[in-house]
Amino acid sequence: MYGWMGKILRVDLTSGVCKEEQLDPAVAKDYIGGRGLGIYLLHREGNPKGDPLAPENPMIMATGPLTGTGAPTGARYMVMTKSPLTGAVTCSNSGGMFPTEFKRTGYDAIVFSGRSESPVYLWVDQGKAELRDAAHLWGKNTHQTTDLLLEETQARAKVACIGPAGEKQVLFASIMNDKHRAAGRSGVGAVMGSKNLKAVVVRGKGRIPLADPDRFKVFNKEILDIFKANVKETPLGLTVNGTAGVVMATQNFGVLPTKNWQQGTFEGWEKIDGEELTKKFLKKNSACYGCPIGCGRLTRVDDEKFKGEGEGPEYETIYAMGSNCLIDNLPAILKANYLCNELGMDTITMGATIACAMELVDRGYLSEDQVGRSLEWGDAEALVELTRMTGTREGFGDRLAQGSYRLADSCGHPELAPVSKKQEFPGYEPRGSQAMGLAYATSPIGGSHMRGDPAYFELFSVPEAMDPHIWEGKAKVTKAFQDLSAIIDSAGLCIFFAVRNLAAKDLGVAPTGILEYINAATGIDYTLEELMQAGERIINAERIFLTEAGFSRKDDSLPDRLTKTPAPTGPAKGMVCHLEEMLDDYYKVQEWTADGIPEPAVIEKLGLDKLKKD
Amino acid sequence: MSDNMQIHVKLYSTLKPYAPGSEGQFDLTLRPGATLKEVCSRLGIPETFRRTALINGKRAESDSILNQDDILVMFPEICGG
Repeated sequence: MYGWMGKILRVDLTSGVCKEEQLDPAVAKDYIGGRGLGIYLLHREGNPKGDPLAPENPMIMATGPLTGTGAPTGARYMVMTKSPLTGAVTCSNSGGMFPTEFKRTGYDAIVFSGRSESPVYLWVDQGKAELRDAAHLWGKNTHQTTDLLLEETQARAKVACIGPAGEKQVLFASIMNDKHRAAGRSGVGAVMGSKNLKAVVVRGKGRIPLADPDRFKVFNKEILDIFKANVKETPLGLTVNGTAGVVMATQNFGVLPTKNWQQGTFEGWEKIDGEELTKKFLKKNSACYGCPIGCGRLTRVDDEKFKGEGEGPEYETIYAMGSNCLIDNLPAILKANYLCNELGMDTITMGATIACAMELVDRGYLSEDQVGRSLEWGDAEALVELTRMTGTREGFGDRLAQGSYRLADSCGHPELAPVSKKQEFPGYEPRGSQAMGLAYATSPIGGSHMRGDPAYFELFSVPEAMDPHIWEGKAKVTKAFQDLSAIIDSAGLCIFFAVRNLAAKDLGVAPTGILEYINAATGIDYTLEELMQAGERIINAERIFLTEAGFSRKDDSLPDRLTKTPAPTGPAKGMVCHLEEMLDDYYKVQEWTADGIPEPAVIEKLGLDKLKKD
Repeated sequence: MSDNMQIHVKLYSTLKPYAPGSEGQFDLTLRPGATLKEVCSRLGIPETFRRTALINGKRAESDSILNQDDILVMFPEICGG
């Protein structure tokens, strides 16, 4: 095989046995890799109705055929499993250096099953895999763990690991790779912790074979030349200010979630925006393997009170811990961000859960006695302190560790949790960006926009500028973005490059550039239709898993605050999110029933009737 | 036609250098019925510079017309997550 390495590593943590098997080329063609391969394997080995923290829940790490090939931003991998936060599927994505190194060991994917009796880590040295004792690492944070593992394996190996949060099964614990990169959402770190798996360490020197290296090289140069020319005309905001540059945009569109999602504008926004971050705390940019953008931020806070250094914060972190908590103290946000990375937790859920707690206290549904300290809007010290306590499940941190939904529910007010399927939203207010609401409600992983980011057409003018206040006509383009994201996530690319540069704007973001890269790399002669259908197949496979897990239209929901309470401020003042109308359109476009279940016709068309048979 | 209509302009990020003075925010006097295209031309912002423009919080295009006391915000195309 080309592009793919052609092998899957199976690690049975119960028996301690590692063995390899061939990747079926037919499966690779139909599901591409990464997220697609992950959902295929999850269907065959997992249980949609099972307990996510039980040994029976498999955890799959998978790269795509373009990971590590030199395609720009071809540096990604996915972690797929059933989520302990949502009970739905999760496909958590990360970049950095680990994914490429992992693939170069010779494996496209690793499937972890069972549970080890005691803490272990997986060491894959070229093609050789073994489980090693990790008792001496248990309890250590992700940075300490990474340093120790590089000492005891090889200095040039790459590490993905959990911190204390994953060990203690914080429901939104993350898996950190290369210290600063996160497979952040939905508690994949908790699943890893429930298996007593502390880390995966890889050292790979294998070449990634390309079917037509010349064709690949020519196309690659073409794409990069266009990219460089574009950047010359319009310097890339992502490079200059990182994703933090988005604060200014969402504030001006009136969709910057503020005060636990009560409104979409924040007075203190300039104190926490990308320019401020660049001016005061940026040391230098950082980039994933093979990325020409370099949106990563290496930052440092010297101020004694919030001293620390690391990567980030991203836009999402700034919204969740900043405007959302009425906090305009950027050093505190940086510190809480560093703590999340070191302890191994998702910054979105962390910030959003603290903001939810602030509102619960404000309304008298939670007392300061129960919290163990004062917790007023804007309290920067509380943000840092409670983040620390959540990572180790100390005191009130134990309750925060369950996420905002369970916290609010335990106080009798689940409606105050900003969630869909119990996962907290990223930073775009749906009352001012209608399609975002649809994306959140229909994302297979719960509150998320990364599985089809409407910000591109609602706010960023890709493929074209659309009016974010209009809900009509948004179902079709949202589906197109979701299908595209499935292809990007399965190929091993990053959304930040692929959407703008590898999709045809005049064809409704058809993945024309991705098609050329994949065909040149793998030698498979996909047609555009076949590739697009693979995206649909993956989306529907995820939807079927959700259906089997008991999810349906009732779970494709948004809190009443967003669908019934008019936005109080900004350009979207007076508006609500018209979810129900958009859902009706969306299910039709998807060929699902009015209850959101894939119809037999679409299941058959996509070959999903064969999903579980051998 | 004389310039006697005033709008307020905010330029952000890599568009800031096109603002007069050191702040990105300033008032601009234009002829009534001026379009966004004319404003960009007046400020020297190249047509090839991809940007998002909002007039009073609503997305605007090159042929959008400006009115007295409008707030015009412009920033370069961005993305993120």
